This record gives sequence, structure tokens and C-alpha cells, in this order.
Amino acid sequence: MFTPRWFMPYDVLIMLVMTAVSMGIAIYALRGFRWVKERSLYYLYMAFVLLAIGFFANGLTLGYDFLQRTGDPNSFQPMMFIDLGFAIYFFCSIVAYGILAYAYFRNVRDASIAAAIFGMLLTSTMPVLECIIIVLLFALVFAQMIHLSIHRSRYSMIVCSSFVLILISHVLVLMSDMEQQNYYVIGKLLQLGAFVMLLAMMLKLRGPE
Amino acid sequence: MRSEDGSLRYRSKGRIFSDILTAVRLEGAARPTHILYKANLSHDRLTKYLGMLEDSGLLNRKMDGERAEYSITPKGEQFLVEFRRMETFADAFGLEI
Repeated sequence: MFTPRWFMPYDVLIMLVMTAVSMGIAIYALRGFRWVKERSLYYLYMAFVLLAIGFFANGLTLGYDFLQRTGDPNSFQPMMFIDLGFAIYFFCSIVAYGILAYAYFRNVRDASIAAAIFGMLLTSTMPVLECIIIVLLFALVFAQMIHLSIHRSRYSMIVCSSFVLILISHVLVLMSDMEQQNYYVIGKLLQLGAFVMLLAMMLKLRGPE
Repeated sequence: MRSEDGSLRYRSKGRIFSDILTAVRLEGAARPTHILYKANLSHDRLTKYLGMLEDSGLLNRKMDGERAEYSITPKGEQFLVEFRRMETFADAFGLEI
């Protein structure tokens, strides 16, 4: 994973947009939970609050690091602060996608099959944080595609497509390095696109009956 | 309750509330036997849920002699709107409520 320096201000902006969208979805789910008291909505609320916290922490530390180095290009940063941002981001993302995966699979009748598939995927990948997120996202996309094959709706299509984009973006970010900086940029832009799609879906839902 | 494909389906508390409120709303003022039939509930469960809906201010009870009649309150109407919205919202994420 490699963040090109020229892209850092845009990365901060993308993180802030994703923070706002995630908070919007979380607040909407909480409002629904207060009315109908359904656990599924509470899981959505928890997952998106955690995503918002992770994006915000990552954006904040990236922005601080960028400004610090712009002021004094020769200054050596021990990377502690930016690493803390990444740690919070990864921790929150893993827990958030884990909560969503639990929400999907808790109602699966033969949960053992889902657990077996999930376990195989976890053990067959490197125990790197980004890989864990990718595995969780893969499970979420898998569950959404099954749902989509049964209940086809415009909103389900949008959510499923956005999670596919988030999955692809994490794969691209994982593959990025000094030579492949474009992967990181494309990955982040795809992630932004996914959250814009989620925002559009939510705005459409919030409209009059 | 049976779903479209004929399999038994778990009904959440929110959905049972919604089914009862929809039955009452369609009638204007509904007697418990009518609600029981429309919402597909046993007598004991219906009594429990009617009490909960009344306590939450979603239903009004009016006594007509010895028989009770239920009508939906504005808060109950709002619940139905919110429930439908949240149903679509959760369904978009592939989750059922």
C-alpha cells in the first residue's frame, strides 16, 4: 500500500466526504431503529458510525502529516501519528465490516456453511489488515448478491454495486506500491464513487412517500 | 407466517406492529377478532401486542358496550410510514426487518 504525496490532499478530501456519507447513513439507521426497534438497523448504525470514525481519523492524520511536511519538507516524521490514523482506520473498518457480515449471516439457516466458506477464505489469505477487510467485503458482496438474486430492487442494486466498488478499491490499494501509484489513486476514486452511490440511494429513500 | 414461496417466515416485532396497524387502518375502527384474522395472530399474542401498541400511543382503544374497538393514532400512521421506509432501506442492504 502506497499513498502518493501529490494525492494526499485529495485523499483527505475523499476521507472527509466518506465520513459525512457514513455518518448520514448511520444517523438514518439510528432514526429507523428508534421507530421500529429492529436489530438489523442497529447493526447498520454501528457499522457506519465505526466506518465514519475510521475515515475521519485517517483523513485527519493524513492531512496533519501533509501540512507538517509542506511547512518543513526536510523535517523527519517518525510516522507515529500517521500510523495511528491508519491503525484506527483498519481497526474500525474490520469491526464495521465484521458487524455487517454478522448481520447478514446471523439469519442464514445453515450458518455452518457460511462459516466454513468464511473460515477457508480467512486462512487462505495473508493475515494482513487490508486482506482481512477484503475477505470481509467479499463475504458482504457474496451475501448481497444472494439477496439480489431473490429480491431484485433498484436500491439493492445500488448498494450491491457500491460494495463491489469498495471491494475492488481495497484490492487496488493493497496492490499499490512505488511503481504502481495509480492503483492507489484509482482505488480511492472508486471508493469515493461507491460512497456517492450510497448517498444518492439514501437521499432518494428520504424523499416523500 | 408463510412467505411468497410458501415457506415459514419469522416475523419481527416491528413487522407484527405494522401488520396490526395496517389491519386497523384499513378498517378505520377494528374489533380484535378482525385484527386477529388479518394480522394472523393467536388471541394471547394479539392481546399482548394490542396492549403494547396502546401503551406506545400507536393505537386508541374505545369501548362500545363490552366490546373494544381500536383505531390508529397519528403516531401510528407515522410508524407505518417509517416502517415502510426502513423496510426498503434495510432491504437495500440485503437485511430483513
